[in-house]
Amino acid sequence: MSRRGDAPPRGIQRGEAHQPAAFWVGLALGWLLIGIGVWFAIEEVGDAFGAFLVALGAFALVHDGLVLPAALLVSVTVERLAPAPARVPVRLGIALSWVLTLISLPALGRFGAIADNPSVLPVNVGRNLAILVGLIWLGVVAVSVHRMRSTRTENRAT
Amino acid sequence: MDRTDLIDAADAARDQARTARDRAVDRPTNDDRTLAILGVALGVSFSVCFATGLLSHLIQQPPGWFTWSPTPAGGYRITQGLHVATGIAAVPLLLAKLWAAGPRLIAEPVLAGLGHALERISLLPLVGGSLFLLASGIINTTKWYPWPFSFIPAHFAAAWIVMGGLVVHVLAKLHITRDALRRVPAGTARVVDTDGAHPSRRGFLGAVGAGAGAVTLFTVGQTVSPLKGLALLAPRRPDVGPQGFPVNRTAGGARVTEADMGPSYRLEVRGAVDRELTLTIDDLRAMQLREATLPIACVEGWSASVQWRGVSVRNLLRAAGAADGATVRLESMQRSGAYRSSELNTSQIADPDTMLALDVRDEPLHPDHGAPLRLIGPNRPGVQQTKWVNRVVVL
Repeated sequence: MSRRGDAPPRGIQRGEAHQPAAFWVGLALGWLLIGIGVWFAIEEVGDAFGAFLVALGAFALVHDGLVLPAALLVSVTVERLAPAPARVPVRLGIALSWVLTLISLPALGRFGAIADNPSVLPVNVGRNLAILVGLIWLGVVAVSVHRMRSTRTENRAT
Repeated sequence: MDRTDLIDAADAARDQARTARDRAVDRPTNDDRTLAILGVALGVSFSVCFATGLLSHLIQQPPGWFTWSPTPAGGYRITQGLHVATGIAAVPLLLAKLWAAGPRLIAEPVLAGLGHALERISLLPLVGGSLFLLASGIINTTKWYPWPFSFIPAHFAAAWIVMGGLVVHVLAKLHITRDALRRVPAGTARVVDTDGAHPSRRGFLGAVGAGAGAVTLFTVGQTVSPLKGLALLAPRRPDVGPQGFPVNRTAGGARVTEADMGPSYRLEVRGAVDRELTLTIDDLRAMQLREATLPIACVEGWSASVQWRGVSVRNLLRAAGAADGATVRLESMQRSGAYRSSELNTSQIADPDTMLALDVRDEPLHPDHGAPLRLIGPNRPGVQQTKWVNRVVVL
């Protein structure tokens, strides 16, 4: 029997009998909380309970089936197209630009704008996002050029 | 191609996938240590969101055992500001965690018993629920409701589901997280990229931190006034709106008309009182007025500190001869909506700063801020600062 806390070889799950007590406590407590959430949704979300469950499932499926593969595709494309020293800054630039865009999407679309309430969405998010993403890519270009020059200098020296 | 060839091809594909997974899991951006660090950061941010969200829910729908105090005056502004800011900051943390853990979706064996099955299945509500929570929260801050269910119960139910999934996940991975967070033994550290093409762990986590910092910095100005100039991506600015601060529901949206707010307006005090009162605006202005600077803090995460002037609810109840220890319900002229009334408990009534405001920033209230009379009290959510009040019922 393995010592408590020993990690099994990669990709091989522990046998049920070797799981520490915390595992079983977590299962019991966690599924109890999930049950409370589902019960509350049935009680309070009412007729739209089905739509609520679909939304939860859809977010997981869209992420795992669409967003994650798309991110992998972008990563592979960068690997193939960008020079080696530029790959890290380009990948980080894409990630930062994506996350800023993602959190701005509802404001960018102005979907919640109310005609008689100019205090909702008063900021020009599109312009500001363009400026921020532009600054990020200026940084990406600067760092990439610096890394490429450094690599060339190192190669000449060796 | 016969059956043996098919089996060989399937074995080869499985070996290939296994090799690709093992190579990915070996990268410093995807290994146990990176996952443990991101997991701790996410666990902390989700716990803060859950605690502050639960508090907001209790304040708005208090069960019998729960009493909310009016002090400190800015308490709700801090807890709800923290709720929204932490939720926004959690977006890059969650995306990074899902990216880093992606290769581990391929697990072997697929199922290793009931406990393992329950642990794996709990990832669906955890991942789907987490993405739903953050997305619905951010969408709600822009007052956009693209779903057929009410935001509050759905967000609240999803929070419990996510916390359940989180408890299962944290305790199932506790030993791996603990081991991974211990000092990395010499010779096994993979903190520096060797090929220059993949980020090091430090670079990856630094970028995640920069992402979390950036989304916070460019939105938190909606509640932290000194940073309002940097609120480049925020759905609100604390200084934009009639009389210099935002509005959630306008008079037009609440279908409160100019006639409702005009000379025929009367405030009625009814219920368990010695003397029922019917007061005009002049009657109210003739009473002793109180001034206080109080924040108005909205559940959507914006807040603004504003100077108010009005009649203390405590004094109004004394004038009507209400008993000490009474509670009240304030009703609005707005035609419909969940927030057309709110209640005050005894400690809120006892606070002299809980008032029916007539003026803000030395001007009569703008119609969109609840003219001619609105409730403003310390340490209350904006939705409970009932606007266009025309009736006080002593319970």
